Amino acid sequence: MLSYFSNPIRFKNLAMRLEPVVIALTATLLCAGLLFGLVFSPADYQQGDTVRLMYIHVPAATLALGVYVFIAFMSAIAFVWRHTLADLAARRAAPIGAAFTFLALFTGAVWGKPTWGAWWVWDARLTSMLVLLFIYLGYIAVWRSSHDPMRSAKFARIVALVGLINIPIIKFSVDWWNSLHQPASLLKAGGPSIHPSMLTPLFLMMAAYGCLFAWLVLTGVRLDLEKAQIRRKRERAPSRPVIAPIEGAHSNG
Amino acid sequence: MVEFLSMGGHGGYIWAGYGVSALILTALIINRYGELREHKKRSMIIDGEA
Repeated sequence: MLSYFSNPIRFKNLAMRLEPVVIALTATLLCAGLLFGLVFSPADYQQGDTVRLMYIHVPAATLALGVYVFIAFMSAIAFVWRHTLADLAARRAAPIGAAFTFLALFTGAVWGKPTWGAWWVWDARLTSMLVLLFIYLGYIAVWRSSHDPMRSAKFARIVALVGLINIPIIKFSVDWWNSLHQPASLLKAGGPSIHPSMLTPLFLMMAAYGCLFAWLVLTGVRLDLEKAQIRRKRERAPSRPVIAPIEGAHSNG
Repeated sequence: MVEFLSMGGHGGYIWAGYGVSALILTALIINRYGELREHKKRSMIIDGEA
């Protein structure tokens, strides 16, 4: 399966077919999620309307972690099988992951102020998320550090795989240390502890963010492949003068 | 409407969160559409050259 889609032409064809479907799905899910989240879902009995920040905070945080796992997985594939597409996908995913991490931190801060009374605390969960943002920025910087893409890719893969250690730290930080952040309420034994009226907009928004990520990576990788194709075509083409020589110009002096 | 916007007195926090999220996600989409448009333009020029 992986080898099948590692063929650039097959991937490009698949991406071009999927892109319109995925962006339409993103728009639909986003509209539905916002409608349910801001209008139909009830206010929390303790937090009031601030609970509506959950519908943008949790999807952003989930995608921040998910995108990093995706990058590490792609880096591992690139390490083992040397698939260029895996490197391209990882490189294109990084700025999106950094944006989601920033959003998770920002929406966490605006949710923290009315509920905890503070924008920021040096809590294990918050600090490890900040570290994730720095890892993302470092990863992006490594890709841009060298003119040799092979060399950048090699170092970027190492950074991605080493940085993976931060993911379980983020996930279990609320269990391992005393934290102001609430413990897991979605992925836990016994199922989610959130009422279905709140779970619906939450899942809709998570799906919308996931589809947006998929669209951005698909279009990004396809663009990189097409640019490479154009570059190769230009290199193969015989060099032509910009202005065509005028016949008989030499004989006329 | 005013009641909806005030969100139980927490409108400032909620709309700031939603606003910044919308801004960043829109920026990601616009940036990608710009890149796609730029690439399409360049490929048309190259196809014309060929």
